[in-house]
Amino acid sequence: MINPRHIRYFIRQAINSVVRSPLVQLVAISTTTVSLTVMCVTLVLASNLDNLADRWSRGLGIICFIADDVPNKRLSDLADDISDWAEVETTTVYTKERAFEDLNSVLGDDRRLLVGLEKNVLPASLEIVLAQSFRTPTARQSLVLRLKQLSDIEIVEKVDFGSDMMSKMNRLREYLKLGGLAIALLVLSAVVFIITNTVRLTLYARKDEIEVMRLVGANGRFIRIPFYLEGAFQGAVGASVALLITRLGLSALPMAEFVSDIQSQPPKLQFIDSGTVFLVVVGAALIGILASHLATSRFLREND
Amino acid sequence: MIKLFHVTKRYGRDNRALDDVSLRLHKGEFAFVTGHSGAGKSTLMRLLFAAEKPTEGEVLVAGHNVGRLDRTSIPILRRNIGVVFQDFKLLQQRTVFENVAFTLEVLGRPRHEIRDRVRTILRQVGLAHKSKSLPLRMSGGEQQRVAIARALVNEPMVLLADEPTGNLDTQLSLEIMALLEAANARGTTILVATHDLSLPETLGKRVITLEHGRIKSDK
Repeated sequence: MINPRHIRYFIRQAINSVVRSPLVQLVAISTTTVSLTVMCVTLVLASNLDNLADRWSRGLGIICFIADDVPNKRLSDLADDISDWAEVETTTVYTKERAFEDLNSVLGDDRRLLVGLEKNVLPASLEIVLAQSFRTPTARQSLVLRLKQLSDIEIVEKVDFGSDMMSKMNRLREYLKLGGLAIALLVLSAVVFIITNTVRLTLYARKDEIEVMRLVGANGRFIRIPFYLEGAFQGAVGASVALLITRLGLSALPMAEFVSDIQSQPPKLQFIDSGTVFLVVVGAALIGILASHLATSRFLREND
Repeated sequence: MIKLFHVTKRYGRDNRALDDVSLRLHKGEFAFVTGHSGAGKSTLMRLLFAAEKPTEGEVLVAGHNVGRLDRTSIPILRRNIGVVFQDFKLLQQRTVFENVAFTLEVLGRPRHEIRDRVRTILRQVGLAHKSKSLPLRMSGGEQQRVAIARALVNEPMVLLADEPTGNLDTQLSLEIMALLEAANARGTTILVATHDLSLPETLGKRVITLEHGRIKSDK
């Protein structure tokens, strides 16, 4: 257990250590920042690719065209039933009338093309969006089979090239995950290395003080904790600056605006969510503590 | 309070810093360990505050068997021992008050207790007026008094002083000895390692003389 009276001492020592050696801190934090920026960029890329893949896979739903003689009541009952299936996220009903209105609005100035039509020839339909975990070609195929067993509806799958694209996208996501993991491991090793060495510098600068601490009966934990705080500080500040740089870099990226200009519903590059931001900062602080632990353990062993 | 049974300390295969040393210091005793350089005085002191472990034999200090202490138990022993060195080992960026208070901070004493005890001990060593000074701006004698204050502020059972007057003139040495005698009078067992034979003679205390790592005399 930590003596509560020591907490003030630990914080004071950690602050003193940071204040007394600003240059060492600056070097440690900036090198940590550079490493973590690489990781943050990878995270942003991975997160955006995930979002993009999610948007595309949502578009790869199933459209069921309904026979003309099915009344709208039966159509909405069908939609309700299908919505309850585990593999279905949403079901949207497009009655014949709504389909006609949609076509009208899509045609815009060319809607006169429809003037000659004696009756609405467009079929009613159900648009089914698959639940997140069922957005795979196999799951999609089995849902189609299940739908085909229902009477009253004729099922047509939406655009076939999408499945192929989805497979490619999934493969790319897997590669990116693996690449991201490799980058994360490299970056974390670099951060551990940087902080370990910074803390070692501080330890050597305070060698006399540590010797006195041991003489008067300080235990290992008492000696280590201020260094843990220092490591956590370096990690957390490094991560915060890296996140800030990534955020600013993302908004300054010309590609983001370009993409948003040419698309009606742009896949705008997104920054990572606040939960991930929190995890990055806390994770970097924990890495800082780990690095400090390695440095102090080695130092105390060498100077036992 | 301090017991050594057939203690040998070897560095490497042949270098015997201490060779079959046995001695006993009772609670409240004041004794000197003397001998020439290399006689084994500092090794003996280092064994007593568990900076070293004996190669052979048993070292008992304040009820702790030094040879059997693991890393986590050593601090517990040291909280019962005050140690004073020839080079003072003061923290130069800290004031006199902070140096002395440091021992109590490590022990997690309340702030008001730290303040009161540090003031009291600084008064006892005659440095109350220098509590805000930095050690580097003080004389050798004053720095050694700070070191003694730091060693005594926790009222340890044992005080070990390794050449505490090595850098001081005769007058200052006697002043330092007077402080140690005062601590001894309050019940602290004191063992002083010194090569200066005049000090024990002046004070008329027990003298253990080491030569080549062995006890040559004990009187």
